[in-house]
Amino acid sequence: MASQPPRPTEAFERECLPWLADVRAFALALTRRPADADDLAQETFLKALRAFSTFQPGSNAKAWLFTVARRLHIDRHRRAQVRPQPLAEQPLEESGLDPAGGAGPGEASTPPGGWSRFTPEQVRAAIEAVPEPFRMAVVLRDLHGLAYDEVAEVLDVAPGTVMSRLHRGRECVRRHLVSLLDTGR
Amino acid sequence: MSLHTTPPLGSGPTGPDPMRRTTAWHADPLEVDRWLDGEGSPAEREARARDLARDPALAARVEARKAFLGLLATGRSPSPQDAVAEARLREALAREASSPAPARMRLLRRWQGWAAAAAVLLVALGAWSGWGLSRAIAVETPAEMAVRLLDWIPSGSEGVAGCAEAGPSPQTFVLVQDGELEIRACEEGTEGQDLSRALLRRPEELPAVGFVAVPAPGARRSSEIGITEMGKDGVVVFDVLDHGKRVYLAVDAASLRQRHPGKGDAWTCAACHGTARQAMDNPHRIVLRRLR
Repeated sequence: MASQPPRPTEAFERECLPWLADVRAFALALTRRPADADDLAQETFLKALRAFSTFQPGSNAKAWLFTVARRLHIDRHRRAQVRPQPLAEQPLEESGLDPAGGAGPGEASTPPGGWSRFTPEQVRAAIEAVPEPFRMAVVLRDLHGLAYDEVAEVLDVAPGTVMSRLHRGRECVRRHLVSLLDTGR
Repeated sequence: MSLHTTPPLGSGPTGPDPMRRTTAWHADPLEVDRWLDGEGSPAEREARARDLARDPALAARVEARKAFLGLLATGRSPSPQDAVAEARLREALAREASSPAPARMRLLRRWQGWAAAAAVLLVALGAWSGWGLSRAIAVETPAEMAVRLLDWIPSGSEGVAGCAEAGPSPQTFVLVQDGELEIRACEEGTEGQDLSRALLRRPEELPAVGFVAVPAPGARRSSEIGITEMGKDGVVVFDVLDHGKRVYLAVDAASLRQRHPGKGDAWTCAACHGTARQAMDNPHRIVLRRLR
Protein backbone atom coordinates (compact mmCIF):
# COMPACT_ATOMS: atom_id res chain seq x y z
CA MET A 1 0.00 0.00 0.00
CA ALA A 2 1.34 3.38 -0.89
CA SER A 3 2.77 5.39 1.98
CA GLN A 4 0.48 8.02 3.37
CA PRO A 5 1.29 11.57 2.38
CA PRO A 6 1.42 13.96 5.31
CA ARG A 7 -1.92 15.54 5.98
CA PRO A 8 -1.81 19.30 5.57
CA THR A 9 -3.84 19.73 8.70
CA GLU A 10 -1.08 18.25 10.79
CA ALA A 11 1.30 21.04 9.88
CA PHE A 12 -1.47 23.55 10.33
CA GLU A 13 -2.27 22.26 13.76
CA ARG A 14 1.36 22.34 14.73
CA GLU A 15 2.06 25.83 13.42
CA CYS A 16 -1.17 27.68 13.95
CA LEU A 17 -3.28 26.20 16.70
CA PRO A 18 -0.88 27.23 19.48
CA TRP A 19 -1.79 30.81 18.61
CA LEU A 20 -5.48 30.35 18.98
CA ALA A 21 -5.76 32.40 22.15
CA ASP A 22 -3.57 35.12 20.71
CA VAL A 23 -5.61 35.36 17.56
CA ARG A 24 -8.77 35.62 19.55
CA ALA A 25 -7.26 38.33 21.71
CA PHE A 26 -6.15 40.20 18.62
CA ALA A 27 -9.59 39.78 17.10
CA LEU A 28 -11.02 41.27 20.25
CA ALA A 29 -8.68 44.21 19.91
CA LEU A 30 -9.89 44.68 16.35
CA THR A 31 -13.59 44.29 16.93
CA ARG A 32 -13.85 45.33 20.58
CA ARG A 33 -16.82 42.98 20.94
CA PRO A 34 -16.37 39.43 22.24
CA ALA A 35 -19.00 37.88 19.99
CA ASP A 36 -17.55 39.53 16.92
CA ALA A 37 -14.08 38.56 18.05
CA ASP A 38 -15.05 34.91 18.28
CA ASP A 39 -16.51 35.02 14.81
CA LEU A 40 -13.49 36.75 13.42
CA ALA A 41 -11.08 34.37 15.12
CA GLN A 42 -12.95 31.39 13.76
CA GLU A 43 -13.10 32.83 10.30
CA THR A 44 -9.41 33.62 10.51
CA PHE A 45 -8.45 30.06 11.27
CA LEU A 46 -10.74 28.59 8.68
CA LYS A 47 -9.35 30.89 6.05
CA ALA A 48 -5.81 30.20 7.21
CA LEU A 49 -6.46 26.48 6.99
CA ARG A 50 -7.65 26.78 3.44
CA ALA A 51 -4.75 29.03 2.53
CA PHE A 52 -2.14 27.17 4.50
CA SER A 53 -0.25 26.23 1.35
CA THR A 54 0.74 29.89 1.08
CA PHE A 55 2.27 29.92 4.51
CA GLN A 56 6.03 30.14 4.43
CA PRO A 57 7.47 27.45 6.69
CA GLY A 58 9.76 28.93 9.27
CA SER A 59 8.10 32.31 9.26
CA ASN A 60 6.08 33.62 12.16
CA ALA A 61 2.74 31.87 12.07
CA LYS A 62 1.28 34.24 14.63
CA ALA A 63 2.07 37.28 12.51
CA TRP A 64 0.65 35.50 9.49
CA LEU A 65 -2.57 34.70 11.33
CA PHE A 66 -2.83 38.27 12.55
CA THR A 67 -2.45 39.50 9.01
CA VAL A 68 -5.27 37.22 7.91
CA ALA A 69 -7.41 38.44 10.79
CA ARG A 70 -6.83 42.08 10.06
CA ARG A 71 -7.65 41.67 6.37
CA LEU A 72 -10.79 39.77 7.19
CA HIS A 73 -11.75 42.49 9.60
CA ILE A 74 -11.34 45.12 6.91
CA ASP A 75 -13.27 42.99 4.43
CA ARG A 76 -16.10 42.66 6.90
CA HIS A 77 -16.32 46.38 7.25
CA ARG A 78 -16.40 46.77 3.51
CA ARG A 79 -19.09 44.17 3.11
CA ALA A 80 -21.16 45.76 5.82
CA GLN A 81 -20.51 49.13 4.27
CA VAL A 82 -19.46 50.30 7.64
CA ARG A 83 -16.63 52.68 7.57
CA PRO A 84 -13.78 51.18 9.53
CA GLN A 85 -11.86 53.25 11.90
CA PRO A 86 -9.44 55.35 9.95
CA LEU A 87 -6.12 53.75 9.37
CA ALA A 88 -4.44 56.93 8.34
CA GLU A 89 -2.51 58.84 10.88
CA GLN A 90 -4.92 60.70 13.03
CA PRO A 91 -3.48 63.75 14.70
CA LEU A 92 -3.31 62.93 18.34
CA GLU A 93 -3.78 66.55 19.11
CA GLU A 94 -7.35 66.14 17.90
CA SER A 95 -7.88 63.16 20.08
CA GLY A 96 -6.83 65.01 23.15
CA LEU A 97 -4.19 62.40 23.74
CA ASP A 98 -1.28 64.10 22.16
CA PRO A 99 1.79 62.83 23.93
CA ALA A 100 3.84 65.72 22.64
CA GLY A 101 2.41 67.89 25.33
CA GLY A 102 5.39 67.39 27.49
CA ALA A 103 5.87 63.71 27.96
CA GLY A 104 9.07 62.49 26.51
CA PRO A 105 10.37 59.10 27.30
CA GLY A 106 12.50 60.51 30.05
CA GLU A 107 9.33 61.53 31.73
CA ALA A 108 8.20 58.06 31.48
CA SER A 109 9.04 59.20 34.69
CA THR A 110 8.05 56.69 37.16
CA PRO A 111 4.94 57.84 39.01
CA PRO A 112 4.87 57.84 42.77
CA GLY A 113 4.64 54.26 43.88
CA GLY A 114 6.05 53.00 40.62
CA TRP A 115 4.38 51.47 37.62
CA SER A 116 3.60 48.33 39.49
CA ARG A 117 0.77 50.09 41.27
CA PHE A 118 -1.38 49.78 38.15
CA THR A 119 -3.46 46.71 37.65
CA PRO A 120 -3.70 44.76 34.40
CA GLU A 121 -7.30 45.95 34.11
CA GLN A 122 -6.17 49.54 34.26
CA VAL A 123 -3.52 48.88 31.69
CA ARG A 124 -6.03 47.19 29.42
CA ALA A 125 -8.42 50.10 29.78
CA ALA A 126 -5.66 52.56 29.03
CA ILE A 127 -4.72 50.66 25.87
CA GLU A 128 -8.37 50.52 24.87
CA ALA A 129 -8.48 54.30 25.10
CA VAL A 130 -5.67 54.77 22.62
CA PRO A 131 -7.02 55.96 19.29
CA GLU A 132 -6.46 54.03 16.11
CA PRO A 133 -4.11 53.32 14.51
CA PHE A 134 -1.73 53.75 17.42
CA ARG A 135 -3.57 51.22 19.51
CA MET A 136 -2.97 48.41 17.05
CA ALA A 137 0.77 48.99 17.14
CA VAL A 138 0.72 48.81 20.94
CA VAL A 139 -1.44 45.70 20.92
CA LEU A 140 0.75 43.87 18.44
CA ARG A 141 4.06 44.82 19.99
CA ASP A 142 3.38 45.07 23.70
CA LEU A 143 0.61 42.55 24.13
CA HIS A 144 1.63 40.03 21.52
CA GLY A 145 5.37 40.53 21.30
CA LEU A 146 5.63 40.94 17.56
CA ALA A 147 8.84 42.42 16.19
CA TYR A 148 8.65 45.74 14.39
CA ASP A 149 8.86 44.22 10.96
CA GLU A 150 6.11 41.78 11.85
CA VAL A 151 3.91 44.57 13.12
CA ALA A 152 4.62 46.39 9.88
CA GLU A 153 3.59 43.33 7.92
CA VAL A 154 0.35 42.89 9.82
CA LEU A 155 -0.59 46.54 9.58
CA ASP A 156 0.73 46.88 6.06
CA VAL A 157 2.82 49.92 6.88
CA ALA A 158 6.51 50.78 6.83
CA PRO A 159 8.65 49.83 9.83
CA GLY A 160 9.32 53.52 10.49
CA THR A 161 5.60 54.09 10.76
CA VAL A 162 5.42 51.29 13.28
CA MET A 163 8.03 52.99 15.44
CA SER A 164 6.14 56.24 15.33
CA ARG A 165 2.74 54.75 16.01
CA LEU A 166 4.06 52.56 18.74
CA HIS A 167 5.75 55.35 20.58
CA ARG A 168 2.78 57.66 20.33
CA GLY A 169 0.43 54.93 21.37
CA ARG A 170 2.56 54.14 24.37
CA GLU A 171 2.61 57.74 25.38
CA CYS A 172 -1.16 57.80 25.24
CA VAL A 173 -1.25 54.85 27.59
CA ARG A 174 1.26 56.46 29.91
CA ARG A 175 -0.66 59.69 30.10
CA HIS A 176 -3.90 57.86 30.64
CA LEU A 177 -2.43 55.95 33.56
CA VAL A 178 -0.88 59.00 35.09
CA SER A 179 -4.20 60.76 34.80
CA LEU A 180 -5.69 58.04 36.97
CA LEU A 181 -3.39 59.17 39.72
CA ASP A 182 -4.41 62.75 39.25
CA THR A 183 -8.06 61.90 39.52
CA GLY A 184 -7.45 59.59 42.42
CA ARG A 185 -8.97 56.57 40.71
CA MET B 1 14.16 65.17 33.11
CA SER B 2 13.40 64.13 29.64
CA LEU B 3 15.66 62.17 27.38
CA HIS B 4 15.15 65.01 24.97
CA THR B 5 17.39 67.09 27.16
CA THR B 6 19.79 64.39 28.16
CA PRO B 7 23.31 65.52 27.51
CA PRO B 8 24.57 63.24 24.85
CA LEU B 9 27.35 60.88 25.54
CA GLY B 10 30.69 62.43 25.02
CA SER B 11 29.84 65.56 26.90
CA GLY B 12 32.00 65.77 29.95
CA PRO B 13 35.13 67.46 30.98
CA THR B 14 35.93 68.16 27.40
CA GLY B 15 32.55 69.75 26.77
CA PRO B 16 29.63 68.68 24.68
CA ASP B 17 30.04 67.65 21.12
CA PRO B 18 27.42 69.55 19.09
CA MET B 19 27.38 66.88 16.42
CA ARG B 20 26.66 64.14 18.87
CA ARG B 21 23.97 66.21 20.51
CA THR B 22 21.95 66.00 17.34
CA THR B 23 22.68 62.38 16.57
CA ALA B 24 22.75 60.63 19.95
CA TRP B 25 20.36 57.75 19.80
CA HIS B 26 19.08 58.26 23.30
CA ALA B 27 17.94 61.76 22.44
CA ASP B 28 15.33 60.19 20.19
CA PRO B 29 12.52 58.59 22.19
CA LEU B 30 11.67 56.32 19.29
CA GLU B 31 15.20 55.02 19.30
CA VAL B 32 15.07 54.42 23.02
CA ASP B 33 11.95 52.36 22.53
CA ARG B 34 13.60 50.55 19.68
CA TRP B 35 16.49 49.63 21.94
CA LEU B 36 14.19 48.42 24.66
CA ASP B 37 12.17 46.41 22.18
CA GLY B 38 15.26 44.48 21.20
CA GLU B 39 15.38 45.88 17.70
CA GLY B 40 18.52 46.80 15.82
CA SER B 41 21.52 44.99 14.47
CA PRO B 42 23.91 43.23 16.84
CA ALA B 43 26.59 45.85 16.22
CA GLU B 44 24.18 48.67 16.91
CA ARG B 45 22.93 47.06 20.07
CA GLU B 46 26.43 46.43 21.24
CA ALA B 47 27.33 50.08 20.78
CA ARG B 48 24.23 51.22 22.63
CA ALA B 49 24.90 48.82 25.45
CA ARG B 50 28.32 50.37 25.80
CA ASP B 51 26.74 53.85 25.94
CA LEU B 52 24.47 52.75 28.74
CA ALA B 53 27.28 51.11 30.64
CA ARG B 54 29.24 54.34 30.53
CA ASP B 55 26.40 56.58 31.65
CA PRO B 56 24.55 55.44 34.78
CA ALA B 57 22.15 58.37 34.66
CA LEU B 58 21.15 57.50 31.13
CA ALA B 59 20.88 53.87 32.05
CA ALA B 60 18.55 54.75 34.92
CA ARG B 61 16.28 56.75 32.67
CA VAL B 62 16.18 53.99 30.12
CA GLU B 63 15.47 51.55 32.89
CA ALA B 64 12.50 53.64 33.97
CA ARG B 65 11.16 53.47 30.47
CA LYS B 66 11.72 49.74 30.47
CA ALA B 67 9.64 49.40 33.61
CA PHE B 68 6.81 51.22 31.89
CA LEU B 69 6.99 49.00 28.83
CA GLY B 70 6.98 45.99 31.11
CA LEU B 71 3.77 47.26 32.62
CA LEU B 72 2.14 47.36 29.21
CA ALA B 73 2.72 43.67 28.75
CA THR B 74 0.56 42.94 31.78
CA GLY B 75 -2.44 44.11 29.77
CA ARG B 76 -2.43 40.78 28.03
CA SER B 77 -4.03 38.49 30.54
CA PRO B 78 -6.50 35.76 29.73
CA SER B 79 -10.15 36.39 30.22
CA PRO B 80 -12.60 33.86 31.64
CA GLN B 81 -14.27 33.58 28.26
CA ASP B 82 -11.09 32.49 26.58
CA ALA B 83 -11.41 28.82 27.41
CA VAL B 84 -15.00 28.59 26.20
CA ALA B 85 -14.26 30.49 23.03
CA GLU B 86 -11.22 28.37 22.36
CA ALA B 87 -13.18 25.17 22.79
CA ARG B 88 -15.77 26.35 20.29
CA LEU B 89 -13.09 27.39 17.89
CA ARG B 90 -11.26 24.11 18.13
CA GLU B 91 -14.46 22.24 17.43
CA ALA B 92 -15.16 24.30 14.34
CA LEU B 93 -11.63 23.78 13.13
CA ALA B 94 -11.81 20.07 13.69
CA ARG B 95 -14.89 19.94 11.49
CA GLU B 96 -13.22 21.94 8.78
CA ALA B 97 -9.94 20.08 8.98
CA SER B 98 -11.60 16.73 8.60
CA SER B 99 -13.19 17.60 5.31
CA PRO B 100 -11.28 16.85 2.14
CA ALA B 101 -9.37 19.81 0.88
CA PRO B 102 -10.46 21.27 -2.45
CA ALA B 103 -7.16 20.30 -3.95
CA ARG B 104 -7.72 16.74 -2.95
CA MET B 105 -11.14 16.78 -4.44
CA ARG B 106 -9.74 18.11 -7.65
CA LEU B 107 -7.14 15.38 -7.62
CA LEU B 108 -9.79 12.81 -7.04
CA ARG B 109 -11.86 14.08 -9.91
CA ARG B 110 -8.82 14.15 -12.11
CA TRP B 111 -8.00 10.65 -11.03
CA GLN B 112 -11.52 9.56 -11.73
CA GLY B 113 -11.04 10.70 -15.28
CA TRP B 114 -7.88 8.69 -15.61
CA ALA B 115 -9.53 5.75 -13.93
CA ALA B 116 -12.32 5.89 -16.45
CA ALA B 117 -9.84 5.91 -19.28
CA ALA B 118 -7.92 3.06 -17.68
CA ALA B 119 -11.11 1.10 -17.23
CA VAL B 120 -11.99 1.50 -20.86
CA LEU B 121 -8.55 0.32 -21.76
CA LEU B 122 -8.81 -2.65 -19.48
CA VAL B 123 -12.14 -3.55 -20.87
CA ALA B 124 -10.78 -3.36 -24.36
CA LEU B 125 -7.74 -5.39 -23.45
CA GLY B 126 -9.82 -7.89 -21.59
CA ALA B 127 -12.17 -8.36 -24.45
CA TRP B 128 -9.31 -8.58 -26.88
CA SER B 129 -7.48 -11.16 -24.85
CA GLY B 130 -10.52 -13.25 -24.26
CA TRP B 131 -10.92 -12.33 -20.64
CA GLY B 132 -14.34 -11.68 -19.37
CA LEU B 133 -15.37 -8.13 -18.88
CA SER B 134 -16.28 -8.54 -15.30
CA ARG B 135 -13.06 -10.30 -14.45
CA ALA B 136 -10.94 -7.54 -15.89
CA ILE B 137 -12.74 -4.83 -14.02
CA ALA B 138 -13.21 -6.72 -10.84
CA VAL B 139 -9.62 -7.69 -10.26
CA GLU B 140 -7.76 -4.67 -11.47
CA THR B 141 -9.56 -1.41 -11.44
CA PRO B 142 -11.41 -1.65 -8.17
CA ALA B 143 -8.19 -2.47 -6.39
CA GLU B 144 -6.60 0.65 -7.72
CA MET B 145 -9.60 2.58 -6.74
CA ALA B 146 -9.57 1.23 -3.26
CA VAL B 147 -5.94 2.01 -2.78
CA ARG B 148 -6.46 5.50 -4.00
CA LEU B 149 -9.36 6.04 -1.76
CA LEU B 150 -7.62 4.60 1.19
CA ASP B 151 -4.83 7.04 0.74
CA TRP B 152 -7.19 9.38 2.45
CA ILE B 153 -7.14 7.39 5.57
CA PRO B 154 -4.66 8.72 8.07
CA SER B 155 -1.73 6.56 8.83
CA GLY B 156 -2.17 4.79 12.08
CA SER B 157 -5.82 4.05 11.53
CA GLU B 158 -6.59 0.60 12.70
CA GLY B 159 -8.93 -1.95 11.36
CA VAL B 160 -9.79 -0.09 8.26
CA ALA B 161 -11.82 -2.11 5.89
CA GLY B 162 -11.89 -0.69 2.44
CA CYS B 163 -13.65 -2.58 -0.24
CA ALA B 164 -14.14 -2.41 -3.89
CA GLU B 165 -16.55 -4.41 -5.81
CA ALA B 166 -17.66 -4.52 -9.35
CA GLY B 167 -19.36 -6.66 -11.83
CA PRO B 168 -21.67 -9.55 -11.37
CA SER B 169 -21.09 -12.43 -9.12
CA PRO B 170 -18.73 -13.87 -8.16
CA GLN B 171 -17.98 -10.54 -6.67
CA THR B 172 -14.52 -9.47 -5.95
CA PHE B 173 -13.70 -7.28 -3.06
CA VAL B 174 -10.58 -5.51 -2.26
CA LEU B 175 -10.10 -5.48 1.41
CA VAL B 176 -7.65 -3.29 3.14
CA GLN B 177 -7.40 -4.05 6.73
CA ASP B 178 -4.74 -3.01 9.15
CA GLY B 179 -2.66 -1.76 6.34
CA GLU B 180 -2.66 -4.98 4.38
CA LEU B 181 -4.16 -5.23 1.00
CA GLU B 182 -5.78 -8.39 -0.16
CA ILE B 183 -8.25 -9.36 -2.76
CA ARG B 184 -10.98 -11.77 -2.00
CA ALA B 185 -13.54 -13.31 -4.17
CA CYS B 186 -16.79 -13.64 -2.39
CA GLU B 187 -19.82 -15.58 -3.21
CA GLU B 188 -22.94 -13.61 -3.19
CA GLY B 189 -24.43 -13.52 0.24
CA THR B 190 -21.23 -14.27 2.05
CA GLU B 191 -19.81 -10.84 2.16
CA GLY B 192 -20.48 -10.40 5.81
CA GLN B 193 -18.54 -13.53 6.57
CA ASP B 194 -15.59 -12.50 4.59
CA LEU B 195 -15.32 -9.13 6.13
CA SER B 196 -15.40 -9.24 9.83
CA ARG B 197 -16.09 -5.59 10.22
CA ALA B 198 -18.24 -4.79 7.29
CA LEU B 199 -21.32 -6.03 5.71
CA LEU B 200 -21.12 -5.20 2.09
CA ARG B 201 -23.90 -4.47 -0.23
CA ARG B 202 -23.89 -4.51 -3.91
CA PRO B 203 -24.12 -1.15 -5.58
CA GLU B 204 -27.71 -1.44 -6.54
CA GLU B 205 -28.56 -2.06 -2.95
CA LEU B 206 -27.01 1.07 -1.71
CA PRO B 207 -29.52 3.60 -0.58
CA ALA B 208 -27.30 6.50 -1.33
CA VAL B 209 -24.53 7.21 -3.66
CA GLY B 210 -22.29 10.04 -4.40
CA PHE B 211 -20.65 10.52 -1.08
CA VAL B 212 -17.32 9.68 0.21
CA ALA B 213 -16.73 9.07 3.84
CA VAL B 214 -13.59 10.54 5.20
CA PRO B 215 -12.24 9.85 8.63
CA ALA B 216 -11.84 12.71 10.97
CA PRO B 217 -8.43 13.58 12.35
CA GLY B 218 -7.46 11.26 15.10
CA ALA B 219 -9.91 8.60 14.11
CA ARG B 220 -8.55 5.36 15.39
CA ARG B 221 -11.18 2.75 15.17
CA SER B 222 -12.88 1.36 12.17
CA SER B 223 -16.16 2.45 13.61
CA GLU B 224 -14.97 5.98 13.25
CA ILE B 225 -14.16 5.72 9.67
CA GLY B 226 -16.99 5.25 7.38
CA ILE B 227 -20.59 5.91 7.41
CA THR B 228 -23.71 5.23 5.81
CA GLU B 229 -26.95 3.85 6.28
CA MET B 230 -28.54 0.86 4.88
CA GLY B 231 -31.33 -1.27 5.54
CA LYS B 232 -31.74 -2.79 8.86
CA ASP B 233 -28.52 -4.55 9.21
CA GLY B 234 -26.07 -2.85 7.33
CA VAL B 235 -23.44 -0.72 6.40
CA VAL B 236 -22.65 1.10 3.52
CA VAL B 237 -19.87 2.82 2.76
CA PHE B 238 -19.42 5.05 0.09
CA ASP B 239 -17.90 6.28 -2.49
CA VAL B 240 -19.72 5.06 -5.45
CA LEU B 241 -17.90 6.05 -8.52
CA ASP B 242 -19.19 6.46 -11.97
CA HIS B 243 -18.56 4.24 -14.92
CA GLY B 244 -20.09 1.23 -13.33
CA LYS B 245 -17.27 0.69 -10.88
CA ARG B 246 -17.86 1.18 -7.26
CA VAL B 247 -15.59 1.53 -4.34
CA TYR B 248 -16.53 1.46 -0.76
CA LEU B 249 -15.12 2.12 2.57
CA ALA B 250 -16.81 -0.09 5.03
CA VAL B 251 -17.30 0.00 8.72
CA ASP B 252 -19.14 -1.96 11.28
CA ALA B 253 -22.78 -1.34 11.67
CA ALA B 254 -22.56 -0.17 15.23
CA SER B 255 -21.54 3.31 14.28
CA LEU B 256 -24.23 3.94 11.80
CA ARG B 257 -27.07 6.28 11.73
CA GLN B 258 -30.32 6.99 10.08
CA ARG B 259 -31.29 9.02 7.21
CA HIS B 260 -33.77 11.69 7.98
CA PRO B 261 -36.68 11.62 5.57
CA GLY B 262 -37.47 14.96 4.12
CA LYS B 263 -34.22 16.46 5.13
CA GLY B 264 -32.36 16.00 1.96
CA ASP B 265 -28.97 14.63 2.59
CA ALA B 266 -29.05 14.93 6.29
CA TRP B 267 -27.80 12.07 8.32
CA THR B 268 -27.42 11.46 11.93
CA CYS B 269 -24.36 9.82 13.28
CA ALA B 270 -25.20 7.40 16.02
CA ALA B 271 -21.72 7.61 17.41
CA CYS B 272 -21.66 11.34 17.37
CA HIS B 273 -23.85 14.21 18.16
CA GLY B 274 -26.07 16.25 16.00
CA THR B 275 -27.21 16.08 12.47
CA ALA B 276 -25.29 17.11 9.49
CA ARG B 277 -26.50 17.66 6.06
CA GLN B 278 -25.19 17.64 2.59
CA ALA B 279 -21.52 18.27 2.63
CA MET B 280 -22.06 17.53 6.01
CA ASP B 281 -19.88 17.56 8.85
CA ASN B 282 -20.17 15.08 11.49
CA PRO B 283 -19.37 17.06 14.54
CA HIS B 284 -16.85 14.67 15.80
CA ARG B 285 -15.86 11.75 13.74
CA ILE B 286 -17.20 11.50 10.29
CA VAL B 287 -17.49 13.77 7.39
CA LEU B 288 -19.45 13.23 4.26
CA ARG B 289 -18.82 15.07 1.11
CA ARG B 290 -20.87 14.99 -1.97
CA LEU B 291 -18.73 14.07 -4.91
CA ARG B 292 -20.98 15.30 -7.62
